[in-house]
Amino acid sequence: MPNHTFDRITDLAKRYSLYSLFKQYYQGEWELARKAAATIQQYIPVNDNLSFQQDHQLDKAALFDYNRLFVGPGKLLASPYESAYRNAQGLVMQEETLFVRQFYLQAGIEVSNKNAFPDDHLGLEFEFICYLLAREGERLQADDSSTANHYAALYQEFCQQHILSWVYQHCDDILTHGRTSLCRDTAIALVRFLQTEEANFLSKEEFV
Amino acid sequence: MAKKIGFLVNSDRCIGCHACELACKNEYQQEPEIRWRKVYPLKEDSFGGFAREFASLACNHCEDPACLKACPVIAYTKREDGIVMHSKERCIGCKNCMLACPYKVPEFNQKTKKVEKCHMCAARQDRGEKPACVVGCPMEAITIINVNDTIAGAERSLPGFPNAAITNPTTRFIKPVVGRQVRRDA
Amino acid sequence: MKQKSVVSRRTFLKGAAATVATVSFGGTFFDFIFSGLSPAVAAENSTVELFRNACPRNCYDTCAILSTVQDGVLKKVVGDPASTYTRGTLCAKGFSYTRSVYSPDRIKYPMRQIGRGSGNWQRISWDEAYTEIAQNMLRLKREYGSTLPICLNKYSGNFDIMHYGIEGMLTSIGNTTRATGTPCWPAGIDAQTFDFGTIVCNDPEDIVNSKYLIIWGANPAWCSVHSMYFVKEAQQRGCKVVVIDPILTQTASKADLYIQIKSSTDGALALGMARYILDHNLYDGEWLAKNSKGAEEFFSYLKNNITLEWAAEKTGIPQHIIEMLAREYATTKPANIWIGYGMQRHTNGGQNVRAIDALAAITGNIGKSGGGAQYAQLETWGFKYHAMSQSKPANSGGKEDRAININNFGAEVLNAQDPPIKMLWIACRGPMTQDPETAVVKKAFEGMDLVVTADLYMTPTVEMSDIVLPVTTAFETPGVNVSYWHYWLSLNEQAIKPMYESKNDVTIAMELSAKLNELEQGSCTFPTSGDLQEWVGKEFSEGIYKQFGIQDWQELKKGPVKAKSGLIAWQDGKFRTPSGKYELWSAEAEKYGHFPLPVYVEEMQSTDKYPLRCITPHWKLSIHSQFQNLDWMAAVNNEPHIEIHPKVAAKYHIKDNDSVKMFNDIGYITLPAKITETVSPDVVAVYETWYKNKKFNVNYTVKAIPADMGKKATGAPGIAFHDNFVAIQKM
Repeated sequence: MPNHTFDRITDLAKRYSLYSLFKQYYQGEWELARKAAATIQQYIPVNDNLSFQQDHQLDKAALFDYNRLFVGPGKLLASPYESAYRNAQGLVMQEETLFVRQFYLQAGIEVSNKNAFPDDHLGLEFEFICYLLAREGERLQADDSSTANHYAALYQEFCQQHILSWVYQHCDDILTHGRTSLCRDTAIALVRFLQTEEANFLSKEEFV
Repeated sequence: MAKKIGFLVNSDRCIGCHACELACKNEYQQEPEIRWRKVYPLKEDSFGGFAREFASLACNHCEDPACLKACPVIAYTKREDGIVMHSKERCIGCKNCMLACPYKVPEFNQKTKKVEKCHMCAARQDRGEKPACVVGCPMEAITIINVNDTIAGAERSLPGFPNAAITNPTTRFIKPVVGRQVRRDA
Repeated sequence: MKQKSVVSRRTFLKGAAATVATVSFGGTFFDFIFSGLSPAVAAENSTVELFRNACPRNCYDTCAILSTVQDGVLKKVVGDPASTYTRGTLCAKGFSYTRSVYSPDRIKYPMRQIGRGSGNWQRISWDEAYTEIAQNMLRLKREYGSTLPICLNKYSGNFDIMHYGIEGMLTSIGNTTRATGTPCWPAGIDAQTFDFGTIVCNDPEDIVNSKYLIIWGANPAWCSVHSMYFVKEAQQRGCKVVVIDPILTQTASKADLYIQIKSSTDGALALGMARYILDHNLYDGEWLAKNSKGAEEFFSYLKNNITLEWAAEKTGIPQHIIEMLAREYATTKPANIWIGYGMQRHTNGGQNVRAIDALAAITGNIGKSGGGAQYAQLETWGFKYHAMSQSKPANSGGKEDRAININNFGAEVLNAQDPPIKMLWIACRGPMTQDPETAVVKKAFEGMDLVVTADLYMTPTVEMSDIVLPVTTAFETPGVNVSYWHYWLSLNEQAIKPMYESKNDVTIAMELSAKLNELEQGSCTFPTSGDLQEWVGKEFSEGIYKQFGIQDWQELKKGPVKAKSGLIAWQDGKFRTPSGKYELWSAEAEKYGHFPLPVYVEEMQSTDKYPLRCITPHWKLSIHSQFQNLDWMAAVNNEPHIEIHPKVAAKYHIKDNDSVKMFNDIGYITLPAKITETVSPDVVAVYETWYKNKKFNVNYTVKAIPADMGKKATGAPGIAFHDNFVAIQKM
C-alpha cells in the first residue's frame, strides 16, 4: 500500500470515528457527548478561543437539556431535523426531507423505518456519512481508489448540499438555548469539526 | 367575443369560513404566510344593518394587469382565456409587481426569493377540473364565470374593493343581503 | 428548492451498495453497522394512492375524506364527493390535516417527566413506559385493595368507535374511577330524553324541505359548515330562516330575520310563543291528541303563568315580534327548529330546550320531513363496541366503577375518598385548557402519584403529566366513524405509517395488558395482541349492517354509505318515553328533580360586581384545543379577542385592540378588544380555543356551575359555560 493511501486511510478513520460519535450522540446516546468533545480536541489542535469546559456532568441536567433541544415532548429548541431549518415552518416529510431521501437512494440507502422517521434527522444524516466514509475506506483498503473517490465525492456533495446548509444554524440554536456545558460544548466541537471538513473541501478544489 | 374567465364571488353565500383559503393551501401545500386566496372581513355596516360579511379574494386576473406592465422580465403573461400567469422561472423577485398591484395580490416567498400568486388552478382547469377553492367551498360561493356573460346580480365591486377602473379586474361579486334584525341595543 | 446533482450518473453505486449490508469492512477502523438506515429495497417507481379517511373530531359534520398518499407520504386531503352531506368539501380545519400530521411539534416518543410541570423530560422506551405504568397500577391495587384509585378522563378528542377501547382498557384492569358525563350538550340531551325518549334528529339534508326554519342558539356557519349549504338551499327554495341568538353570529348574519334574545331566556320566548299559538288556536290538536301526553296540563300552565308581556320583558324582544314569530312558525308548514348546544349551556338550559321542543309538538311539526326539533342523534351509533366491552378480572377489588363528574373534574378528584384518586389516565382530552376552574384542575393533578397522558402535542395537560405517550392521527391507524348529526357511515383507512413511535390507543391498551399480565398474571383481561383492521371489523353489528344496507364492513372501502331508514325523526310516532307518547308532562323529569312540565326556570343574573355575561362559544378555526395551534391557522388568525359592544367599550374607554383584562373572583385573562355590534351591551364574547405559546385560556374565569340537566342520559349535568359573569377593565 502506498504511503499516501495509508495516510488517507488513517485520516479517514479519524474522521469516521468522529462522525460515528456524533451519529450515536444524535441517535440518542447522549452520554457520548463528552467523548465526542474530547476526541475532537485530540483531532483539532485547540489554539484559539475554543475552550471546552472540563466539568462535563453526565447528570440529569444534561439529559433534560439534550431532550429539550433534540427530543421533546415540547417544541424542540434546537431541532435535529434538516427540515426545521429549510422548511419555513419546519414541517417534516415535505420536499426538504424528500431531497435527503433522494440523496440516500442515489447511494442505495434508505431509512429502515421509512416514512415513520423523517429521513433528515441529523442522526441519520451522520449515519449516512459514516456509511459513505466506511465504503471509501473499505475500497481504499482494497486498492480500488476509483470507487473510493466516488464515495469521497458523494460525501462531499452530501455535506455541501445538506449538512453544511443547516447544521451551523442548528448548533447556533444549541448555543442559544442549551443550558449545560455538555450540550453546548458538543455543539462547539461539531461546528469546529465541520469547519475543518469544509476547509478541506475548499483546499481540494484549489488543488484540482 | 372570446371566452374570458374570472371568479364570481358570491358574498351572499359566503360565510367567511376560510375553507377556500385552506383548500388552496392544501392543494399546493404552501408555506403558512403565503395566501393566494384570502378571506377579507368587510365592515360590519357595509350593507345596511350589521352583519359578518366577507369577500374571498385571490388574484383578480385583470384585463389590464398592472403586474404584467410592471414586470421587467416578462414573468407575467395573460392567457387567451384571461388567466394571468406568473412564471417562477423568469421571476427575479424584484417586487415591482407587488407595488403595482392595487389589490396586493403578488406575494414574496422568502424561501424561493420570488413572487407568487394565484393562477386560477390553470393546470387543473386545463384538465377539466375546477380550481381548488371552487370545489373546496362548502357554500358554492365561488364559481368560474365567463365575464362576457351577463350574470344576474353580478357587480364589479364591493365596499372596500379598490377602484376597478385601474386594472379592470375580472372578479365579479354578488352582494350580501342583510336580513331584518331585531336588536336590543337600539 | 433546486438541487444540483452530480451523482446522478453514478447509478452503478446502487448495485454495489446492495451487497454492503452483509459485508464486514474488516479492520477496526470502519466497523460500520447500520442502525437507522439500511440498503434500499423499495421499488423506485413512485406510487400515488388514495385512501378513505374520516374526520374523527367532535363536530356535527364528521367529514368523509379522500387522502392522497405519494410514496407513503400524505400529500393532501379533499372531501369525499361520495357523501351527499359534505358534497366533496371539507372545512378550513379539515383542509389543514397535513400540517397536523407533519407538524414539527408532534410528540415523538414516550417520555417521562422528572418533576411534574418541571419541563425536565427523559425519553423512555414503550416497554419502560408500560412497566412504570403497570407497576403503579398494581401497587395502587395492592395498597388500596382495588384499582379504584385509578381514574380515566377520556372524551371527545377522537370519536372513532375503536377509540372506546380506551374505556375498555380501564375496564380490563378492574373497577376504576371514571370521569363521567359530557361537558357541552347534556342538558339538551336530557330535555329531549324527557320529551321524546331520546335524541333523534332529521337527516340534516332534509332541511331543504323546510318552509320555515328557526336556528335557535346554534351557529352552523362556524360549527357545521356543511349544514349551512342546506340552510341556504332551503332559503333559496323559499324557506324563511330565523336565527335567535344573543350574539349576531355568522349564521345570524345570513338569516332573513335575526332576533337578539337576552341570553338564557330562550324558554320564556318559546313559552310566550306557545301562549300566542294557544290563544289563537294555531296548535295542532289532532296531533297532540294522538301523540302526546300532558297537553292539557301544559296549556293550563301557559294560561295561568305565561303572558306575552312577560315574555317580551324577559327576553328583551318586543311583543309584536314574538307574536309575529309565533304566528309565522305555527302557520308555515313544515316548520323546523334547530336547537343549538350553545343555548343549553345554562342553569336553565334543559328547561329551555323542553320549552322549544313543546313548540314543535303543539304545532304538529314532529315526525315530518322539513319539520322537527333538531338537536342531535345517536341512532347510527349502534356498534358492538368490541374494543370497549371488556370484562373485569376476578378479585380485583371494589364493587363497581366509581363515577365522578367530568364537569367538575378538579374538585371531584380532590374530594374522592375511600379510596382517594392517585393516578390519572388522560386520553382524547385536555382538562388543563378545556375544563372550567383551571386552578382547581391543576391542584388535582398535583396530588397524583402518576399522571399518564396520551396526546399528539405538548399541551398544558401534557405539561402537568408524568408520562406522555405519543398517539397516532386518524391517518395513521384504521377506524370507523359516524356523526351525531348526519346519517353517514365512513371507514377510516390507515393511509400512512404511524410517525415516530406513535401508537393507536388500542395498541397501547394491548401492550399495556401484556405488561400487566407479565407482572401479575391475570391482572388485565384486555387482549394482548390483535390486528387493528380486524378490530375495526369487530366493531360492526348486524344492526349497523341492516341500517346501512351493507353485507360487510369492507364494502365501505368503496365509499361512505348513508343510513337506509330512520332519516325523519319520530316519523313512526313511536316515542321512547315511558308512555310511548311525546311527553309534555314527564314523570321522568320529575323523578330527576325537575318540573314535569316545560316551565320557565329563572335565568342567572349578572351582579353589580360582575355586570357582563361572558359567552364562550366555539371558534371557527378550531374545535376546542385542536387546530388553532397549526401554522396554517395561525397565518389566518393568531390572536384571541374579547368582543365588546361599542356602548360598553365607550363606558370603559376601550378602543379597538386595546388590551382588556376580563376577570371575576376565580381568575382573569388579558386580551385585545374587538369593538363590534355583533354582541349586545350585556354580553362579551370570547371564543374558546387553545393557542400554542399563548397564555390565553378562557376557562380561567369559567366556574364549574352545573347546567340543570344531563344526569339521566349522560350521568352528570352539563356545564353552564355561558352563565359566566365577569367585569372588564382597560389595561
